[in-house]
Amino acid sequence: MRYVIIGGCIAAMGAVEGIRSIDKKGSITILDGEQRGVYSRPLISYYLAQPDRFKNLAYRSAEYLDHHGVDVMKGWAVQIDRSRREVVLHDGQIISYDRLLIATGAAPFIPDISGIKAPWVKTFYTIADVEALDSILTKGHNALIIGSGLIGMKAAESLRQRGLNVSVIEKERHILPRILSPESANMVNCLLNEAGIKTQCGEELTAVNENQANFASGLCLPVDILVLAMGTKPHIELAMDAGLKVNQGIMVDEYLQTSDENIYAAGDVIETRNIITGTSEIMALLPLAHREGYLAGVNMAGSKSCAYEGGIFMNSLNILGISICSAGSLPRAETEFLVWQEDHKYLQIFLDGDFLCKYIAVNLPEVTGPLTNTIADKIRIEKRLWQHFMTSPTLSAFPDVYWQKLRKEANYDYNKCS
Amino acid sequence: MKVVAWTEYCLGCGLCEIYCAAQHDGYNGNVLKIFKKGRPMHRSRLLKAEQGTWLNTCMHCTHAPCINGCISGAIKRDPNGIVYVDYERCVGCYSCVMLCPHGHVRPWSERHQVLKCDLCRDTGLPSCVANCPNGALQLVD
Amino acid sequence: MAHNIMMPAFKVQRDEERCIRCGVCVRQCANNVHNLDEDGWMWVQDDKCVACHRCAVLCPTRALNIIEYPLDFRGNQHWTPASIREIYAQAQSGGVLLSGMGNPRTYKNYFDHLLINASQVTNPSIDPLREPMEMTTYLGNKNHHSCGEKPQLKLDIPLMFSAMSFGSVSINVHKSLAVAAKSLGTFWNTGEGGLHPDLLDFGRGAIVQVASGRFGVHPDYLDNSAAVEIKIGQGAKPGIGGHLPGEKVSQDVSLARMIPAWSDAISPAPHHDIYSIEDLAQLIETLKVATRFEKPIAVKVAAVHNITAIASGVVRAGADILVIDGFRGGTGAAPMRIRDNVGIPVEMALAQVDSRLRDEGIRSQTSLVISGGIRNSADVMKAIALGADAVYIATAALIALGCHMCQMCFTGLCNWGIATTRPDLTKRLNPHLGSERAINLLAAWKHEMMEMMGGMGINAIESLRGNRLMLRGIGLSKEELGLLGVKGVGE
Ligand SMILES: Cc1cc2nc3c(=O)[nH]c(=O)nc-3n(C[C@H](O)[C@H](O)[C@H](O)COP(=O)(O)OP(=O)(O)OC[C@H]3O[C@@H](n4cnc5c(N)ncnc54)[C@H](O)[C@@H]3O)c2cc1C
Ligand code: SF4
Repeated sequence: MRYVIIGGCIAAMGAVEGIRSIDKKGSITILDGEQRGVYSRPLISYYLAQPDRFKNLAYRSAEYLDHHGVDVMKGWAVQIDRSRREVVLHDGQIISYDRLLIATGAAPFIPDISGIKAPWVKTFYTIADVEALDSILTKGHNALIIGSGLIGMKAAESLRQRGLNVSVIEKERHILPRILSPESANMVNCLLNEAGIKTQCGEELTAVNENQANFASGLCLPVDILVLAMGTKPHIELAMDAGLKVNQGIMVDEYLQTSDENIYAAGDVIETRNIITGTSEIMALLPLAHREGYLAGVNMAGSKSCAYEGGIFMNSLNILGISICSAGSLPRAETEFLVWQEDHKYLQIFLDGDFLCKYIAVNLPEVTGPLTNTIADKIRIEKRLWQHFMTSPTLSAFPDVYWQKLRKEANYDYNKCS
Repeated sequence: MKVVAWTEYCLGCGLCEIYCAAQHDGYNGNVLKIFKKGRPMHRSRLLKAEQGTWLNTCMHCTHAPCINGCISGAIKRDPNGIVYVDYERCVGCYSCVMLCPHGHVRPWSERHQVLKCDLCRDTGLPSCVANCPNGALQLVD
Repeated sequence: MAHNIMMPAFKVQRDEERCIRCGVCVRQCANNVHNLDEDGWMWVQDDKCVACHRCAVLCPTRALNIIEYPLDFRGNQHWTPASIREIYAQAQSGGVLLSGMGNPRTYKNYFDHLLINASQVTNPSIDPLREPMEMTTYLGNKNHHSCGEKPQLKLDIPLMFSAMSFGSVSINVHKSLAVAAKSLGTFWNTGEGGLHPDLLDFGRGAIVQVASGRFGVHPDYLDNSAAVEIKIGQGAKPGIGGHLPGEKVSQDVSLARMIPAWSDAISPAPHHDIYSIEDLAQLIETLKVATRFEKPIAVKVAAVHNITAIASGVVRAGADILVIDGFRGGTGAAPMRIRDNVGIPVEMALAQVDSRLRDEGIRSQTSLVISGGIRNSADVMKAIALGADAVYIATAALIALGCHMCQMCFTGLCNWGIATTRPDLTKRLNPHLGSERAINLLAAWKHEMMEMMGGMGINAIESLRGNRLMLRGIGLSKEELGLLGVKGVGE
């Protein structure tokens, strides 16, 4: 069996592990378009902040790839020939496959506005981006980050750590709009400002001129480096050209199979079922990319046996020592919530009846593991127990029903010695 | 392999935490030294819930969410199935903390990294198991 | 009352260079001796220390030591510090002094004045590692002439666990001993507190007690047993009853004893239906009928001055097993004056009773079991040679489980999870470890006994029984030697 994987990052690695859990012999070829080897995208901000300390961005080591018998081939795929089961590379090379995985991820969204091609306007997505930024940044210069999502925030952090004056500009009403609630955003905002990152919300970029950025409100800011972090769009062109079913992302069934039975897709490039809302959407998250890749790998190598139940949004980011963890989604705008706050710590949980559907934890990462799992596994926990938990949210106070369930699953009766 | 804690015989004495800390960070089990000279950081935690105390520790899950979700590949599994943190690689994003259903992986704020049980993989029998005065901890397959 | 003039009995020494403020001692002391405040200051209340050593044993840096309080009284051989302190205590409380465990006084210990024989040339010794050594013995009436075979208890080792009621000791003690007894091929004893429902499966390995309070006695209890033991008295407190304070009568204890929870459990001094040997005979007969003559009936009495006559009466009343408990026998709670001043040493009682029953020709109608202060396998050997069929151990078993002999059993605050019913303390004794330790102890004793028997050239424990030629007394008067029925050293 010949397995070919387009794209060589997280989903690809998941797939390698999935394939190898079943098929120890088949050949696996990864087409690495970026030509940087198997690296982890989220590490780029650490690399930019401390190039010496974090210069190794490898997600899995060379020995690991070797051990799994993976052939990493440099080359950008330009076409998939489904009838001949071949992938054509930019240099004309042809690679044939029995099973193909599209794990091409996404690329940063670049708005079509004047001046956007200026050399000091950058994106923040690849090693190349970081190298480009590194080559032009100067301590004390003004950096503007457009977009306060996870990527924008990580860019802001690393530039701040390199000594630039950093401002983050957000179009929506508050920062990290997809992750935080207005209340928690307020708190994080204060903490960020204290840590030296300025923020401004409700401003939409309209044009970039020589050393200044213009916004819809008329605001005009001086700038030396501008980083676009306005979201991503999946790399779906290949799939589209090949005639696979595509929406915003590639459409796959529960086995991660595309509309072609020999082609699977996983990671940021596909649409994933959000198990809280039931809708299908782009969920560009590393843990999901890995899991999807893994399951796709298992299904590619064996019979289609491992169904993917979908995922939940989850993010953990640390910005200058401020920890923000959040998981889940709101099924509707007006969802009941409970809040706990103490000094610089904050926890907000959203309840849909007896089900936890989302939480936001600021500087309180310790309790988030069980919270995430409660959401993902849809564990029913009565509201009064949540109310009790929220009086002092520690692991010790976490509702016992949760631990009991976990113990049962781990197949150990913790209460009785066997 | 994992350590299982029986609440029925857990005394809540806390020796597991103390010996856990002493076994790590190069202190080789020297409780006195780590507490007097170092910064004791226990991996597993004794939880004091209403129903009693119990040691919250790593299950070294077969499909470990922390390994799969680690953004840097710092959480690894060794040939014996032990899930451990490679401190050369951990950047302290706390994704693993957020993903661990057992609430076991926890921040090591001081170093911007994380702490988790490694079953004392360098020294043999996990220190908590070896030093539990009441056999409430057991290493099982 | 205002000021207590009693100084502490013990002093807790904390080596500050070693203390790491981990708080294990604070969490482990049920007497609240150790306190740690937010500023990291330790505050030790020596007054409350009972020297159970729990903190010292668990301290991870060995920072703790406990010594007798060094404050001396002016020396006086008559007014010893203990006697002065006892007066302080009574002047403070106005009550009877209570204590746990057995008589701690320095009365003559006959076991320590007996020496065991060994073979040299004239008869060969036996190597127990190479040759079979029979340790099995049977308890019960062996006089089969009258009316056929009588029920017998088969013991793979001549040792059993003695009566300690659930309530005076924790459920985990019962669990440990029940499991150990089963694995060792011997029996444990429920004591007078009934059988905990968790242990129904171990009933068949238990000797169940019927005592003056009749706690927990019902048909199923009698049925689900190996033998029934009527408890007349106990070596630690002959002649008086028992009193389990209400605090120890938890829900579980109340169920097993069939009495209301948190109420004092009072065992009357006598059985109110036994005022003579004839009455005892009636109860024995009743129990035999109730158990369809399938189980031996034992009678346990304390070793007192008239023990020989009492023993003769008890055997004639139909006891298949006669248990004699000496004055060193342990207890959960006894008035200190009684514990320390009433009764006689079991060695002497045993020798006398064995001789008397032989003289009267009724020795085969009963098995003799002794208890009270058996410390090691040599004590067991000497007891058997003096005439016992088997030996009961209690204190030694508890020590194996972790007891540190602080003698505070009656407070219910046993830090080792032994003499307590408080759930948080009970759990400190993990019966999986407890049973293992009890098994280890008895297995070790068995090895030692086989070694000693081999040395004597004896290959069956029953051949040692009553074989007083294997003993010699040392440092004993002619009279004592005569009473014990042994020759002196050199004879
Ligand atoms: C700065 C930053 C921080 C992040 N932090 C987090 C975080 O903390 N937590 C989290 O959950 N997620 C985070 N993410 C998102 C996370 O990186 C992605 O979800 C994850 O990388 C997706 O993996 P993937 O394998 O699907 O896609 P990608 O990692 O995007 O990999 C796709 C690869 O395919 C290559 N490729 C594309 N098209 C072709 C082609 N035609 N031929 C050959 N190769 C091709 C691309 O060049 C790329 O190398 C972060 C992202 C960034 C940029
Ligand atoms: S905190 Fe460290 S170990 Fe945990 S996910 Fe992040 S990088 Fe990996």
